[in-house]
Amino acid sequence: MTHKADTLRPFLRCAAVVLCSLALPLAVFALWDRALLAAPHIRTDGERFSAAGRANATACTLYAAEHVTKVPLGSNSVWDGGWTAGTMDGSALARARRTLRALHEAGLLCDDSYAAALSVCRLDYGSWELYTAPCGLTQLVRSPEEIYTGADTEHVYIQLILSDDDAPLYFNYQNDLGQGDTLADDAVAQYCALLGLDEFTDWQYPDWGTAVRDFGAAGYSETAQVYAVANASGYSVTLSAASMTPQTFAALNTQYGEEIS
Amino acid sequence: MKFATKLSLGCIALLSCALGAAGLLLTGQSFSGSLASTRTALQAQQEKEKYALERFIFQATDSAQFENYILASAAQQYAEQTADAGSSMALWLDGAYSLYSGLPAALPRTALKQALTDGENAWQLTRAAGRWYLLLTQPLDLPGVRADMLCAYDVSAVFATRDAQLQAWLAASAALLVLGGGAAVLFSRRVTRPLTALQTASEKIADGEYTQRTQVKTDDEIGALSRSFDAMAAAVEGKINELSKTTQSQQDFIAAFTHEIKTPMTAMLGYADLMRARPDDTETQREAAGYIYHETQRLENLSRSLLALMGLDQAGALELVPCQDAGLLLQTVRSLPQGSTPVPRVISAGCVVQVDRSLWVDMLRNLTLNAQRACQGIEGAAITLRCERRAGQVVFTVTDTGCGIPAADLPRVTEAFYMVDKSRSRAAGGSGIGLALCARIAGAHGAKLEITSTEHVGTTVTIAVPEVLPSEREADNDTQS
Repeated sequence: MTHKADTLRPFLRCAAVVLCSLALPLAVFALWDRALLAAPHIRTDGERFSAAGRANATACTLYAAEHVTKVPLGSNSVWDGGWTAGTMDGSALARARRTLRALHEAGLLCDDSYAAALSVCRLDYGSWELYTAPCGLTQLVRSPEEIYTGADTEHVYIQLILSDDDAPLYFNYQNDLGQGDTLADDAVAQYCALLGLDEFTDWQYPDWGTAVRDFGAAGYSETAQVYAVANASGYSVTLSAASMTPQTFAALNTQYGEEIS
Repeated sequence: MKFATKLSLGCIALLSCALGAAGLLLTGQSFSGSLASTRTALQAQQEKEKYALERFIFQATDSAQFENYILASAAQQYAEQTADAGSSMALWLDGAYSLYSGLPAALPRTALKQALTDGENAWQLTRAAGRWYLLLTQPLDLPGVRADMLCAYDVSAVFATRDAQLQAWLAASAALLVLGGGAAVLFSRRVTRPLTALQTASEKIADGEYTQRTQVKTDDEIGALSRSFDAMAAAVEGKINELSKTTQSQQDFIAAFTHEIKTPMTAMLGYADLMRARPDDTETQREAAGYIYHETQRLENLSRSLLALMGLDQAGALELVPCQDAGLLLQTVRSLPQGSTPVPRVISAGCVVQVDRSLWVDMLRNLTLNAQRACQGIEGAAITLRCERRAGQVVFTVTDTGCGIPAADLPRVTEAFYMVDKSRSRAAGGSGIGLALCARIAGAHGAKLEITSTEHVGTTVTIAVPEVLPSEREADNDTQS
């Protein structure tokens, strides 16, 4: 019996090793599956839009316009597509007046420019156009007529893009008579406050004036993914905001930063 | 257990470990890569689906007021238009209210809640109705609305592929183990074949077949072991043969000795009985007494020679001293019995040899006595004792012109108790031990007795030893005649 056991023992050991080796992957994968099912796993594909940014109506609207609805928000936006022509009416004009007053109160529009702009907020001049885009965007455009009045207010050009809650996503005021306008040093901050973006604390203000002609002033918030610009020359004021990814801003910063250096 | 079997089992065990590790590694890497790439692709797909749903929602209303019914309706329309068997989605409001759900009913609610809680920062796997689902959550970028898009993607194919790979691996491993095991058995038998040959040879040698050899000619350790074993077997065979010869020689010696004792004893008994039978017959008494005396003398000579022979066997190292050849020859002549003839002529060469003086003289004396016996009754027979230099050695020669030795007897003359003419030798008092003793003495000095003889012409006995050079000499200058 002992001899038989001694003879069988090596065979049994070998058989045990073989069985364990063949069963090893099955056991490991069973444990692996259990681990996969056990708990949620961290995603590593990067953050697209922060929760704080998404919670901010203006930042979210800008993000949607850039990435979802692809609606252009600029001086040529009417021709770039995505906007549908509508009918200008008194309520739209009232929105324009409220926005101009807010801009004036924020110091982004001087008294003269404000007065001139306000004076053309009249339907009987008939030069206002209204356009709409998804997500409640409204664009109001006022072109100057060729009839001169005594106050030279016919040379006023206004382009205004408003969000659903009247945030001025784009504002361009031009006066051919050259009634210049200047902006304060904190113009971008005031503009962002007007847009409701001042809750973000990671604003940075790049200085690309040497590299970019008529640069003005700009600010960028990575959390909001918003790039805001305030620019004033002898005859125009431009305020604009757009959604911009951190990667794009970093590339611009690198490009213009190298040019400055 | 046979070594070949152990080797085979070891190989099989190692092979199975290697197969297990390889299967785990390869299948694991494949599964991990497949799962990661599938997850990455589905995350990108959900990104597109999210944008598409958002566009759907934006197109459903002009304002930025997204009422619940608008969201739900848009989600349903979107889902219907983009129906995909492998994916389904649900729209949740504020993480608590489901506005729309196209998810499989079998999905556990706890998993859905967990996915909503973790949001876009995590991915989750869950099983339902035998299928695997990847749950991904993405918040929608709708101003003023906290809505989440929860998607469930069927990733069962990844796990099915892995399971299929495992099954294929198992089948392949089983087949490889069978084949590998067979190969291992054959290989180990081949490798251990020389050991089997060694075992067989050793068993045969143990049974007495000392000529058995392994004849393994590999150039590895087993070949070296085999060669050592064969050398050992050859040495054992040589020793056995030597012992057999020695035993046979001893048995022959005892037989011959017994016979030599018996012959004179029988004669002595016979003559003694004759003396008892005829106490009054003086002539008979005298004759009988003479025979008894003669036989007694022969026995005494035999006993003395045997003692000398035994002494050579039992003695330690010889007492080698430098000796002048002339001294040795003259001492030999002086030791001969008084009146024995012919008296040998002595020719020396002035050489010095390193020998045991007494043994060497005994040897020369025995050879000279044999020569005298051979010359008995031959008119003009002569004996010469010579010593000369020849080819760097000193050669001692005892030459006689006696009766000679027949050629047939020449090879055996140095055997103990062998006598060419027994009656003549016994009549002369010989015992047949003399030449055996001379050959033994010569052998003890590293030399050999060379005997040449022609019947009816004479006999020459030659012994050669190295000469002691003058610088090594402490010569014995005894040259008295």
